[in-house]
Amino acid sequence: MTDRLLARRGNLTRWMGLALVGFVVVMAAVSFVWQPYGIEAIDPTNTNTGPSVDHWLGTDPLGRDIFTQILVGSRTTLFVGVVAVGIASLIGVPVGMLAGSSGRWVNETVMRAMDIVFAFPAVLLAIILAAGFGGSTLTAMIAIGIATVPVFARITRAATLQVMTSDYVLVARSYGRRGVPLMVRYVLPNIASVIIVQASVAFAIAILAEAALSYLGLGTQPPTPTWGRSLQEAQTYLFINPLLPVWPGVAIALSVLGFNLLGDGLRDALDPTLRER
Amino acid sequence: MVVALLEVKDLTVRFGDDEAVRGVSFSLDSGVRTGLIGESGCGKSLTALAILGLAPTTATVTGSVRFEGEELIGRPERELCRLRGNRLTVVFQEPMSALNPLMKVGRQIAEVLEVHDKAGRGEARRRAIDLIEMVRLPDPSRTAHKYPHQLSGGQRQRIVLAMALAGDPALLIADEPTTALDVTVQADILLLLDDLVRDLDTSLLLISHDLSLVASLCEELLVMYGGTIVERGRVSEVFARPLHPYTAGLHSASSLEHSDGTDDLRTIEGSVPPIGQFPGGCVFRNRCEYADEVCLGVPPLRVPPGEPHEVACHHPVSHD
Amino acid sequence: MRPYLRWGALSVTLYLLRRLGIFLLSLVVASILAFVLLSLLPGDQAQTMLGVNADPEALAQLREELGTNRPILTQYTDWIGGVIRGDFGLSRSDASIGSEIVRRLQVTLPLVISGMTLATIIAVPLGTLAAMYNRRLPGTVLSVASQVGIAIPAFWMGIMLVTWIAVRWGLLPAGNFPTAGWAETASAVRSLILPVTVLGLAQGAVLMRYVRSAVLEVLNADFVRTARAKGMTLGQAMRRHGLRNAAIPVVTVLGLQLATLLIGAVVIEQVFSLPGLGRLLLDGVGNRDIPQVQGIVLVITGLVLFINFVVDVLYRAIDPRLRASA
Repeated sequence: MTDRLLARRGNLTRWMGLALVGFVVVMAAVSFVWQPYGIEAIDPTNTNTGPSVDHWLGTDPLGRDIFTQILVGSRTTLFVGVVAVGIASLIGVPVGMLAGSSGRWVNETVMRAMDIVFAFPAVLLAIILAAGFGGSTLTAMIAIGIATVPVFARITRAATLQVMTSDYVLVARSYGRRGVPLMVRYVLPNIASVIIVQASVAFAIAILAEAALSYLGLGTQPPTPTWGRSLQEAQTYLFINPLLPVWPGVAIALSVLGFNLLGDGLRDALDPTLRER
Repeated sequence: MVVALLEVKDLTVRFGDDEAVRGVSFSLDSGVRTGLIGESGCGKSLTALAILGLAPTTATVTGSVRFEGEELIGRPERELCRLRGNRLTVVFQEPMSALNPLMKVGRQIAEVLEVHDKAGRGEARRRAIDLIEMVRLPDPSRTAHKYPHQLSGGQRQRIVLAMALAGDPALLIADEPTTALDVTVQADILLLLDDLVRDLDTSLLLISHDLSLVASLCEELLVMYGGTIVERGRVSEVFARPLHPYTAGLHSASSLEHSDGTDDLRTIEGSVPPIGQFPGGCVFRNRCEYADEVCLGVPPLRVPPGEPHEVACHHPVSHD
Repeated sequence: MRPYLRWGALSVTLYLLRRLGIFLLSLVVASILAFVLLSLLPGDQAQTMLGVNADPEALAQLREELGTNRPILTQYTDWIGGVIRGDFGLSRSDASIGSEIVRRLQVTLPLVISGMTLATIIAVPLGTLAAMYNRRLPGTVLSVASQVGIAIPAFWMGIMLVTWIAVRWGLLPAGNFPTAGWAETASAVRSLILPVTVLGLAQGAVLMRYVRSAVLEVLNADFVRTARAKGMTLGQAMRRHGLRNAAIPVVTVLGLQLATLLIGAVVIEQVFSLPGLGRLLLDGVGNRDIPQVQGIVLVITGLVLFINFVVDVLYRAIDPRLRASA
């Protein structure tokens, strides 16, 4: 009985991941058409209440509805994640394919350049950008996106190197296919599954980075609610309401878990050779 | 009564509900070289692993394996370890991955002697160099200091062979020892294996899918199909008169002497089904041209009238 | 001596020199990036210091003093020249940036190193267990635990620990690194317990995943089967042959994680109000103190690149296959 359950863990992982990710997406979608209260609406008679029929997750010390904050905060999380992973893959994948299909020098130079980019993690880049422009959603997305480029480049390069030695690519090359057409028609489809899996995992990391940046005040600015800033605000009210930091944290953790599980599940589904024994 | 060196009875290996090896029985005598032959997926490697107690943890092994009179199935691992690498040794198929990439090959050979307390560190190192010489590798003391990646496939397989012979085994199981090697290297390794088991008077169980290879090295032959032994006898007799339709098929598919150049090479129809999907009754039923309703019953392994060796078939091939 | 040994030594030296060259070159490029990026950003330092309504003459004079009116290349060479001599310049409040960085590292480095140590102590045994009991109940429980641990943001865990252990129960201080520093050893140590726990748990969860897959890989490796065929028990085979092979991918990840931890410390120092390098960096950003930010960014990227360099060298030391192809 347990054996059978464990054997189907791959499926279970995928569905749980999909369900969690779907939940966050639905939350963000719903927030556009319906919010229980305005994000800045203050209810001075009901500050610091626990969960109730009127305020599902209670209110904060200013009397704002916590559920509304969390609901609307999911937008920022997803938006920053999509743009950051987009930037990272649009730069990282071509760079990795170039490195994986070129001679030793290009390969080496490109990967060393990626090592240098790697030495500027997302938070550090965001700090540099914030020093000049002040923190914003845009600087957070750019910082996370650029910091994630090396990850995509490395993984794409490794996959490209492998595919380049495969028979079907050798055959295509023997017919004179080279350059961009070879990459797009033959290599890209065969490494796509690896990239998709990586995108899901990178999304999870992007959510964590965005939350950290918002927490530090280097990301999306008020009044737009974000989970990270909700935590920062909660920390200042620790003595008044110790339950306040629970909800944003749970929201972050569940979304990260969702994208990680989805990535694992996709890995099993898309690439049987990577399946864990 | 002389006790057989290895006596296997009703050996069965299951993965969940699927039987990969189904009630295999045979025995080997001291000093005899036996071939175990069959297509990939027929359970021959798993049989070897089960004898050694190295079947995957997900598998359930039942039946009886008696080695030098001692039962091995159900024995605690510690006691099995006293036999493995000592009286009972093995050479696996893949010399590329069978050696630890981070350890010098001399150490890896010496380790066998140390594990079984046959020699101290220094003595084991000297013996390792002798063993490298025995498997005819050039410049033994220098080779001992090399890492596996610095050796060719054939050289690595010689190292594996040296490890297998270090403990002076009573039985050496060689599982497709040359399949992963180049054809020219294959011949060298086989020649070496043949010489060494003769010199050391070691019994050999050679597992292979290559009939001609077994024929050149072995005296006894076991033919395996679908997790069972389907034919058993002296190599010369089985070759002269293959009784099982499967053996006959293998025989004519692998030997060119029967083709006169005009005939198509004969092959066996169909392919080996995946584990758990063999037909009931005779396992070969769905690929056999002689199959009829009698074959719905499991054929016992027995000597048909007027024949010299055993076969598990309701309709043995007639050679008259 | 046998000649091939000397060749081996030569190739190792060549490799080390080449790798050191790459490290130094990367350091130079990173320093140019850190400097140029921050110098070209909008917002004139002199303007920020004197305010929007400043007198143009005073502005020009200040720019002259700061040297920000000179060509960027000159500014860079001056800066990097100073850095090489250990002089990172002066901060807005006229303090020596270099000595301030050194003071702050005394908080950040112990935090990072103990965090990494704790993560390793957690991850190596638990990851190994998870692999040994793969597809059985203990393995699955451990895998789920590690997935959950990865998903929990470290700073949230920090906030929760502060809430309950420090504020509610008052068991440990919520940071409060003593102003006297390590001179007050006991309270310095106490103030670091919670932050180190947070970093260790968060990184331990990630590391555990890698340890598990590395050990799984080795458990199924042919050479471990060979070792068992020699007469070793599975435990002996894993100890003598498995662990070193499993260590190769784990060492790489450890290096990457050390870099992640350095950045994670920036956030955790904020949570626990620790006077570390991260706080100094954020204060620098808050004050638009560009020279201070430049100096710290250089130190952090330099450390990351150095860790990369050490990992690469270690990697070769463990794996003979790479030693030969240097």
